[in-house]
Amino acid sequence: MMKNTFKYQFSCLLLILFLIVIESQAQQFHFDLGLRSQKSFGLYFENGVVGQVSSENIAKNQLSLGLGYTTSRLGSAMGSNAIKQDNYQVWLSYYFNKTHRIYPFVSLGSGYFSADYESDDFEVLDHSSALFSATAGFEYNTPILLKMNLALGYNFISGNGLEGPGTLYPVFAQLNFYYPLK
Amino acid sequence: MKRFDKLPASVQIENFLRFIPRALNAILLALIISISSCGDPSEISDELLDGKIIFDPSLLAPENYLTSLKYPNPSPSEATKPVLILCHGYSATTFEWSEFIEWTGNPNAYYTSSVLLGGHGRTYEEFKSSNWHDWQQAIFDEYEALIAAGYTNIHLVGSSTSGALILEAISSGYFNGKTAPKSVFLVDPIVLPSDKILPLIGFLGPLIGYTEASNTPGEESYWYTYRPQKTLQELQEVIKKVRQDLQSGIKLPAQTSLNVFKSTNDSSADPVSAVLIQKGVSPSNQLNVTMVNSRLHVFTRLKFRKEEISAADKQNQVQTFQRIVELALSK
Repeated sequence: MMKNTFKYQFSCLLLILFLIVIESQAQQFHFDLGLRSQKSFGLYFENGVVGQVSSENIAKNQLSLGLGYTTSRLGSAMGSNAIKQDNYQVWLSYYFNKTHRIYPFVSLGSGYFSADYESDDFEVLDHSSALFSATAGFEYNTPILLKMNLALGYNFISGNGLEGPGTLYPVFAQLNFYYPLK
Repeated sequence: MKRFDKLPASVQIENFLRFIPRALNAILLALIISISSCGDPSEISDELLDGKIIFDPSLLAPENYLTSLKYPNPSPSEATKPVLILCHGYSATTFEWSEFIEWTGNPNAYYTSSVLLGGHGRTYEEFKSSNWHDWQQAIFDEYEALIAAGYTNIHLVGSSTSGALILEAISSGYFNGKTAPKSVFLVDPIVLPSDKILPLIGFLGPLIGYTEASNTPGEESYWYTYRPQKTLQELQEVIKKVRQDLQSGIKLPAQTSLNVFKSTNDSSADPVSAVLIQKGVSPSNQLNVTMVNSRLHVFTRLKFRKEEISAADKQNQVQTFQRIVELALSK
């Protein structure tokens, strides 16, 4: 119950933040919407939606605030017995040399992870956790407006058999596609 | 000259980023040096299982460990008595199940066959040159020897990696066309490792050569202290295969029940392994998963632990032994 409340509060908070930002300074902001495919090294594919916002007034559009939801329900757990798990992610990215076609970026992220073990027998096991991660990679500005980026990441919080969800792995790769809305 | 702290934040970050390639070069150089310096342990002392003096005793007198050799010609009534094939985990020996044999809940009612996995219980070099098929083959050899001798009431009992080896055998159809085991008992089976870096062993392994376990003095004669990275790659390969098989679904042979006993906190086999087995094995009415409140990996082995053994640990052990025997005798 507490975990559901946390997820609800987390989602509301992020939504409110986004609306405030959009309402107050919509003129100066750039919005990207996209898709994310994430693969933990040694475990699942998790796919989902992402969005990020940046401003000309903040670090010349090189700093982005992002929000995302990825899930194994749209990845490894589709039509299989893989565990259904959800990642609610928020991150800050910094892009370098954005005028180039290919440029590097780094991100720091946080959020909330939850796995569904689908049985009361496993209530005793940890199935949710905070997320805290760092990623680094390269973004490619395609000729058709679409931006594609590939990153390697590390979750500083992961399961270790004694605590934490066992399907939360430390090392992961991400492939993101962004379409600029504004 | 501009002071660094007077620069705008974005420029500072970019300067820092320019430093990264130089740092990466230094790391790469360090890695190359470590590749050329790593390999096998420089010296393995004779007190260790890894050395050339201590072997698993089942290699010297297998007839004391394997029912197929101890009782090769069972009478019709003996042939129907349960035979429990006891299979140990990665880097362990037959010692892992010795407490079950010593416990003897009802020794005349069943036989035990203590299998030494292929490549195990020998020198470091022999362990290093083995693969997971070799490990598994020792289970198959005893299983087939028992069938050939006429035994019909066979049960598999596996701890840790043997859990994965037995699940792989079921998944790959090894028991198709054979007398299937009446039941399978898995204690702390590993499907997902607790050490989440293990999946990277293919990249990191050649750099590290081997890992060193912190065994107690008592454990050093029965468990490898040095674990060759090649065997860790084999471990990763078999558990990855089992995970993927479970993801697609593993069907138990008709009449075979699967009973899983899993510690709730386990620094070797992640407890979520039990979840994957529950979700991936069918039919569900032949499967029973019990979560055991313990922080020990292979909680049925209590001797030579570095952890202090509590009354609850002893109770978990005896209750599980009783349950295994009770279920085997009910078949």
